[in-house]
Amino acid sequence: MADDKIRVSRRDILRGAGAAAILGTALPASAKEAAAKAPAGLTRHGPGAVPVSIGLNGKAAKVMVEPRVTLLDALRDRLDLTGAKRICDRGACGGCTVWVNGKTVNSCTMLAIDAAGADVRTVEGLAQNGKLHAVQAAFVEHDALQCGFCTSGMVMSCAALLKNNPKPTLDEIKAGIAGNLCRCGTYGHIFNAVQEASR
Amino acid sequence: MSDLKLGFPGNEKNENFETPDNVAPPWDATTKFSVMGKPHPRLEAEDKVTGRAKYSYDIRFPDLIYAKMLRSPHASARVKSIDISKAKALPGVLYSEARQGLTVRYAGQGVAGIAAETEEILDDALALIEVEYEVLPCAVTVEDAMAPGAPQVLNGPNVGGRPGRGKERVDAVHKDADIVVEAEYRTQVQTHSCFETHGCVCKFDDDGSLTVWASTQSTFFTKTAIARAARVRPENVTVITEHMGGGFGSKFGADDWDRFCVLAARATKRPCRYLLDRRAEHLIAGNRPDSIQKCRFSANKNGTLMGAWVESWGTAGVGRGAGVQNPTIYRFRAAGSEQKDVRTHAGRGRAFRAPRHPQGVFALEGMIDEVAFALGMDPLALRQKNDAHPVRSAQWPVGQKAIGWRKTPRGNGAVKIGYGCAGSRWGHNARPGDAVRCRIGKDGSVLFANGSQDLGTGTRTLIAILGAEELGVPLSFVDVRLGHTTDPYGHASGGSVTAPSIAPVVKQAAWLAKRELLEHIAKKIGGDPKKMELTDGDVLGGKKKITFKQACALLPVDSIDVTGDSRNVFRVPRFSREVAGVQFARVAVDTETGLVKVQKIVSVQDCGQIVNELTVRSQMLGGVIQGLSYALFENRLLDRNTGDMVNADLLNYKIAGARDMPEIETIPFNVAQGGTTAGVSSLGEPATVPTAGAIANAVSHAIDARVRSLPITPDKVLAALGAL
Amino acid sequence: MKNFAYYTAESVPAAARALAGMKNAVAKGGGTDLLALLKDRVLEPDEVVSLKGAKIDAKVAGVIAATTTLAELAADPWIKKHAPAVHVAADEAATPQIRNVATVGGNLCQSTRCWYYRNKNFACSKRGDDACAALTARSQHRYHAVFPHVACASAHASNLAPALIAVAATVHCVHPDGDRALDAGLLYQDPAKGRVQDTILRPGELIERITVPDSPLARRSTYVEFRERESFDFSAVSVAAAVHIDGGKVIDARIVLGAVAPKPLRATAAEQALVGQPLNAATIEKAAAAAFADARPLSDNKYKVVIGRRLVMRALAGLKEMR
Repeated sequence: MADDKIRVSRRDILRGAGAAAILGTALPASAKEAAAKAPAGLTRHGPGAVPVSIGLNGKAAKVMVEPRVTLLDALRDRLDLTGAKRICDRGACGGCTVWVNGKTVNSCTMLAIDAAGADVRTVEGLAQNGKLHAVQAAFVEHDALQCGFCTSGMVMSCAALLKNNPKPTLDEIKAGIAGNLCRCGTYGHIFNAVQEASR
Repeated sequence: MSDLKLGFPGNEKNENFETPDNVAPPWDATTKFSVMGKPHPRLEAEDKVTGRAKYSYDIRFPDLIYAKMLRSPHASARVKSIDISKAKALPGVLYSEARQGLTVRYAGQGVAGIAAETEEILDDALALIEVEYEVLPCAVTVEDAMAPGAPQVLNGPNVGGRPGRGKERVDAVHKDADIVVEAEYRTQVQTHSCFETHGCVCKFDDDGSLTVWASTQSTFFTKTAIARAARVRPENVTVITEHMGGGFGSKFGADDWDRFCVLAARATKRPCRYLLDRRAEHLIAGNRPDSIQKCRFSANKNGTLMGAWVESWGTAGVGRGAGVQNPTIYRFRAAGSEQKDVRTHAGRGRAFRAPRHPQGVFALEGMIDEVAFALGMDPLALRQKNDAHPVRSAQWPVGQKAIGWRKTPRGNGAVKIGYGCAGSRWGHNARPGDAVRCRIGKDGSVLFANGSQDLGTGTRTLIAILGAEELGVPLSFVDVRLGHTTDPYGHASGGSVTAPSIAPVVKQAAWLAKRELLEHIAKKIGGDPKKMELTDGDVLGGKKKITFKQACALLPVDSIDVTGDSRNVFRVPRFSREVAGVQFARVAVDTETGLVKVQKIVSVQDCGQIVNELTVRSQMLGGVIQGLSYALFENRLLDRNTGDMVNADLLNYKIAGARDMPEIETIPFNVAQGGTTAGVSSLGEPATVPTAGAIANAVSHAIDARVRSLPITPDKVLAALGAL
Repeated sequence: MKNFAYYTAESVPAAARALAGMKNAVAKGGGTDLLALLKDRVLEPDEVVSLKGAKIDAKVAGVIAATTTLAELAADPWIKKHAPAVHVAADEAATPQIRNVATVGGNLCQSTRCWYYRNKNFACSKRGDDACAALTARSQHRYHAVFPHVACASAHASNLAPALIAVAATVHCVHPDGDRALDAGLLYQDPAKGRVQDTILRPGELIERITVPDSPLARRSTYVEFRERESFDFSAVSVAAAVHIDGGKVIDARIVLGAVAPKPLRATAAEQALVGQPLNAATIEKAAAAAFADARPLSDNKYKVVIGRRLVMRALAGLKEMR
């Protein structure tokens, strides 16, 4: 009984992704009317929903969003990628960390429209060919997570750190994740995991 | 009659115990474990590191709608009128509520609510609501609320609490003592700051049944509370909590906003999500009450603690529950306290990881140090002299060695290095009532199911380990389902009851399933089922040796399905009544700027019978880090004029980050505790109790001046040094 | 966040022209500060003009495009060598994620962290109210100004501004009525009722470039900040200092205090205490005392004065050891 119920719900959730995307493209775009009125040297977008195309975890993706919609909300509520979390919602905790053109950003503090044309990678797209990234594997091995709500962002910051600095010192690890907070207090195990992944 | 050996190497005791026929034989200090006690990554770790794990915040449906409430900017006011018409007229607004005439008692109280198609529409709608308030006087500090003529927060007096008992006796002991030390200690309000905020997603099915994905520490409390709030029969409500992003004591049931979410879902016939925003989470979703502790302690010159009397005041906002666990831990000739619980115009306090303890221990351990200095004694020696607990007595020297304890501070120039320590006590809070289902399939699958939740403590993995151990199969054979109220009852995760309570029940379920399996198999392969055993995935003691998987394939039924419960598994002798722990800190204090940098913490913690060494260390680490954060940074700041919180974010409400981390050495102390057939103990809360006290003592040691107020910010250090 | 029309600009002059013609618009660099203000509805513009893609010619060493990110600035080897104060300020700013996005122009034009300014539940003179919620005895003002303005106790948040002022950088501004180049120290003005910005930029005026001179002063510069939390935190006090020493004597000095007043503060009395003197323990102590001689701290933030003096001493002691 219980099993059936979960399965049904999961299917519903998955269906949500497709439906939202379809719904998105059907929304009226105000881009046309707007572009006409833009001052010289400027391009106008919105205020209605506008199409935003991004490279998302290696694939092309498109969403219709108002200019005010953040990259985080576009990912979570329109593209069904809920790995990045909304925690502080003001760029102070790193829970929403994703890579934009290979660099870590707080997706809660970036407009989706500012990611147009960019290569966006989320925690869902970090593992390659079904194999965990070294940081992810080390997080599992060292229990570098408890409730796990900060983990998506932590993993993205740690992986970016190792990309730029394959053999970081402990202080460099700390500085590299200074923009990511953890409430459960897993930092010690995160340091261990990053050191392991750097070996 | 068999012997049960309890305790730890160097301090073991034998108890007579006869295991009833229908009960799994208890584990003790002589048990040789195959799976238990080793480090095991948690079962859901891969889901969490890949972003696949779905928290309540992540549950989505194509027709999901979003709810939110407008919150009062005033701490004390009367709502004169609410004009919600412009908001309702906004396309995409689907449901609303206006609380006309409401009396506001704290900033952040919900005044009106909206549900809408998108979060953006919701945001616009809330901005269109017009509320006229009659602002009333407010009292947002303990001092204000106790002042003559203070505004009354609720019906009844602002000041409540427990009357003290035994003060005369303590006074008499003080009179006989060689020295008496008096001091006032203060602690701040700490908010839980759960990273997944409070709230839920709820969805009605066509038949009227309701499914709620809740971020909760108690799926079953939530189920009852939601059913009551929504006037749905409890049997038609299912609560699901697969993963949850932190609770720390603040998430025990359905709240006002959950109720609004359910009503919006029902009215619109659409699934609805309401998880609080960060600001509301700080304001209204719970906090650790503050405290003012006036302490009077006495001792004799030979280092015998004599009397301790503590008078305390604190506020849990409009709620009750302020108080401190103080005095405690050490042996006094006479001790007691009088605790006043003061209502203020502020969000209600809630249980917070070891309620009353960290604040009480901060003052207690500060006083012990002050007594030691007055006596000219090493503060550690004073503690050891007055601490009779067998486990802590063994722990003090372990921590002393690991930290490199020094009686005199170090450091030349501006930076001084100091050492401090503190102890903790907690209860073995095993509680009957849990039930666990164990299903062994013909295909060799093993599933343990319980309806309670994993807060991130590692409960899911703990169940798997206990089950695998008792069944005698590798951990990889075992799966666990948690967090669905359609499964057997599990306790709320509070008071550190989860592990000690569920462990013997898992063991029992596994044992029952194993006995049933062996009886089936004995008939197939021959042998006495009572003499057969399952060990490391093999069935031994039968006419021939077969593997667990082969045994399952021989089952005459599709599956074995048994439920273990808590009857009889709790009647086991126990080693001690107390969970004991000690922590040591080494800090560096810049005496020119007042900045405190914690260099090292050692935590030696009684962990009972250790189930998973890895998650045990995680719990200890987390306890220390939250304690450090409480000691140095966290502080809810209310504007003292209006009662609104000025730092309701995660920038100015500061929790410790990576660069604030010291070296942390976790030393789990395995104690065969008994008490249940599993002997597993409470850990989550005791691990955070002594940290702030140890750090504060180290700071005072370093600068030779006492900081008696948390958090220990640079201004307080400079003030203690006389530099302000 | 209120919705808005969003514009991308080819160039800063084009953006400036457009902004001059708009009624309720804001310019956006990386947006890391702006988005927080929009989410809290402190600002509710109808139009947002993004400078992110604007092309700026800044290939010459020492010329910093306003759209340079803090991470790029921190990695600039010329700046590291010729203006260490600017390098350190950029490198210490915020978090890796923010440094990857936040721009130099945005950092200079960011709003105060004053929690009364950022919370519309409170009165704020910058937002046009008669009162300042920070300026009462019972307000929470531990991070506020110790040199408060009579109507505003906000503390300026930029850590780059003191550093750029200390090295005597020039700010190049673009406006439809004519461009201008200013000493970075002249970019800021005292607060006024109803004015949220701290700079002297006129409507439609934008920073396009900053020039850091190749000078003995800039080369001997340093930046130190004090923050309660070593992980992400805004500084409670910061000090940027630069000296030009010739013949054993200080011939030029700049000492700039951050987070102590509504704008970055040149400590001219401290500078004067050094000029013509050797840089030694006695003159350093005198300068530090002079820097905060006029401080009027609020009841919660006296500590900032004590720490500020100490930072001035540490900064100058560091300069003494340089070269």
